[in-house]
Amino acid sequence: MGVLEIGLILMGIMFLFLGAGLWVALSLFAVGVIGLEFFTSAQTGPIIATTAWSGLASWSLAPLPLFIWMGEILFRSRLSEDMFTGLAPWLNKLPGRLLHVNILGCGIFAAVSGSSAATAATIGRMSIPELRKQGYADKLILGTLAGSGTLGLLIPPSIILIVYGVSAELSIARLFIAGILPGAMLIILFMGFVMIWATINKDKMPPAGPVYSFVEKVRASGRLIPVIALIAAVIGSIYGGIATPTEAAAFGVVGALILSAISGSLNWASFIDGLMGATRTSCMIGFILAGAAVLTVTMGFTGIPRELAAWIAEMNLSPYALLAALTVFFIVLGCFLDGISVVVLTTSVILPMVQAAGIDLLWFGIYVVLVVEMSQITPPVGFNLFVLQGLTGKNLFSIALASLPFFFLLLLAVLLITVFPEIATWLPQKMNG
Amino acid sequence: MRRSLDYLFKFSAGLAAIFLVAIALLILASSLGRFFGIAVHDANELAGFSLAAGTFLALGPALRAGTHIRVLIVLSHLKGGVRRVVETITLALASFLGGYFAYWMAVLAEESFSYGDTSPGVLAFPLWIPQAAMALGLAVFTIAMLEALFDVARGQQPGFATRETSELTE
Amino acid sequence: AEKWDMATPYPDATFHTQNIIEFAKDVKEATGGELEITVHSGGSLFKHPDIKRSVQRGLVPAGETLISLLANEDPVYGVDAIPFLATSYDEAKKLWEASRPAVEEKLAADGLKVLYAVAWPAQGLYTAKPVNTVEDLKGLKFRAYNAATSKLADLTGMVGTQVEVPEIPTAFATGIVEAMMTSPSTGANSKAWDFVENFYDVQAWLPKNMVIVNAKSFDGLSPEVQKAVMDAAAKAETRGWEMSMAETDAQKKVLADNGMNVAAPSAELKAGLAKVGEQMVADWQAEAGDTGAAIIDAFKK
Ligand code: NA
Ligand code: NA
Repeated sequence: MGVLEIGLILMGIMFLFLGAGLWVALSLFAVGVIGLEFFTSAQTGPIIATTAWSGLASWSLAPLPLFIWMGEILFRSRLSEDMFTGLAPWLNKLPGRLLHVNILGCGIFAAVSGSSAATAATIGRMSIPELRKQGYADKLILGTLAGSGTLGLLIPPSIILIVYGVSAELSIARLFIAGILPGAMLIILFMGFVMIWATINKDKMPPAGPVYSFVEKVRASGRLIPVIALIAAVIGSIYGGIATPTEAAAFGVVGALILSAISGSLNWASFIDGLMGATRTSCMIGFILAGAAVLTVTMGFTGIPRELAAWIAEMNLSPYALLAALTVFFIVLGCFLDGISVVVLTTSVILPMVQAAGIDLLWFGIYVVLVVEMSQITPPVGFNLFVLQGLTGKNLFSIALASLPFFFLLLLAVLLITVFPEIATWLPQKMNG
Repeated sequence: MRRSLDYLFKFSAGLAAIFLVAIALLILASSLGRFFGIAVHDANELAGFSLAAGTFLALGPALRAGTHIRVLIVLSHLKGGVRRVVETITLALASFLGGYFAYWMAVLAEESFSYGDTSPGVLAFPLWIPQAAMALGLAVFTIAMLEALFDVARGQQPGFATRETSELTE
Repeated sequence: AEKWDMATPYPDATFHTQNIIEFAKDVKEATGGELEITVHSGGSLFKHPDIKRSVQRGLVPAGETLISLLANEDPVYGVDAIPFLATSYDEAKKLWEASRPAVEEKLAADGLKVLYAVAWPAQGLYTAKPVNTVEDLKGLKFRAYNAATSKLADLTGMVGTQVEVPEIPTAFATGIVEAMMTSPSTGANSKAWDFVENFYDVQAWLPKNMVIVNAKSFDGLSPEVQKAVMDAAAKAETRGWEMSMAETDAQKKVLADNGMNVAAPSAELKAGLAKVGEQMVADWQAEAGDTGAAIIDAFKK
């Protein structure tokens, strides 16, 4: 049997399991087990155990539960409410108003966190209850969060850029710098979309708040001080030479605890509540990561992604046609595997063909991040979708539908950096001097 | 019986929470230690082990709390007996997968123990400890799954059903 | 025809991986396709710390690992990571010949067989500030990533600190790390000139990667195929060491061309480090017992 047939069979089984209401993590795990057991001669049991172990016992994942914990603490303090009260007067005239908090909040948080799931989880934990309370449409709340959460991957630091940089032997620092302008561009695209949507759908927006005088605006901004202090402390711990980006999450937890103590919302019950909430949510995401790791190793043994990539390589396409083919390839694979797995499994075949086509590897890194960002919000396997389902209890496909416009905006971003590669390459070139 | 299960899940969840706190403390210790010129060894490795152990120990309690996510869109359109049959099959499959995973994780922990495998760092921390915690967590998860299977087979709602999702009421 | 999966830890661009890909090609050709090895690079099948056990358990028939990563299993595996014991390619080769029987014996007990080993370029000292004596090292935050580097930090009065590879650039930029030991290739690949000024070619040690196979899988091959594999391995070993030497010169030049201060260590620094090295050899020998003594004797001969 060819790899294409095996791939289709496994895909069918995954849909069957997911449809029957088998938990997402277990569905990934089960498809991995079936793939190993029936389509390879590998020893299934020991391989899945080793894979789950090394997939989770990893230093690089440590910030994820810490950021989730930080979000839980802040959610229980008055801080998130303060943040919205402080920002509301300033965003009052902008179409879409407080929805921009999701986008800008994720953009700022992305400068601390290297993961998309942690970004969506932390900001979403704070913003969803507030935005719902104020009557914003769920569709837009979820869409902006799912979309902007992916900024965590593009705006440095970024786990996926590190993985790519190691594979391609590029300077991580340069890749990080290359991500800044495309990240800013995405923020503008997302905000632009929200403004247009809000202008067209005035009836679906909550009524505008009162008009504020400048003095009132400034006074309201006083309530932003704690949030700004927290962000400054976390970012400051990195640039002040105390913490590495990975360690900054721990300072975020301490900062959040201090803030909630000052605001009087910290007591033993709320501490335990937040801790247990964070334990459960991290467990949910971690279990899916373990399932995804099992499916990934199965893909490694069956060789499906590798052969599909080799098949594209054999077509000898022109650079633009190659990029178009790769985009389709990454989107399809990204529906079922998480982005990092896609990169790990395919770079061996893809990097040489990209190089042969004369495409700049640094630029390609940014391209890869953008297509991987799409995989975070495409069903059935999209980590931002899982995070938001965990936060809201809404079903996966309705969240995916809400995220669809942002999927197309990411596609537009891919198009833009292809037509204007300088968006990604200009800053790093400046750095070369 | 249910009472003792409650204790088991509480115990497992408590351990998981301790591991989450441990991650934060380990990372803080390593950055503050460096700041004050004290070498803190292997904090990164231990944080990774805590993450693996904590994640898996929380599996069972998280299932009971309805935190694990699944796609209910098809199931919610099924009625009465059909739904019960599908749900029973799904829960039986989930219980089997949990048990299978738990078994092989236990085998891994046992092999690490008999090989004397340790982390590559200064502390040479025995790998079987976090691996055994993972196996234990999976066993608790399987018990939670069997509990739900038992409930559904008797025609009741599993404990997590009410907490799981709001989509049916949307 | 037999198909083998092979797990390797480093990405394709690394010369070790390139060498393995060549090796797999040689095997396929020499056996007329009887044995086909698929190289899964970059830890895509198993992560680096799991590769040796995975080959041992027979999860994959072949794999590659850094030998000194196994040092906690047995001191024998740590001999090529003792600072200032073997500090040139000739010495590293001699040390490999001296330690190979002990390593093979250790691996055989685990049902493993070593095909070949290739050295990395010698570890040099990267520092933010100029360093001329061991005195100058005192108090520097030094990147320690295993027992040997932690000990090196202690003995030279540096503060050992743990920073993972991807975070090295930011760590230097923000002063979290002020010194590290790594090869010129790792430095060049991570564009070290972006964040650190000085490279001292102290040639502290030449760690090796080895390619191992599961003995049962190997014994299952026909004698002709076995011979073809061993011939290809011998060829790969020679080629690998040559690649490594070429790599050293090329990458040192890259460091210098990009404005780094690439220098030989001062006589004082060299002497000071050699003294530290003697201490570490003595400590290692105490740990490794008679086997260790035999290796050092054979090496010093
Ligand atoms: Na980021
Ligand atoms: Na997806």
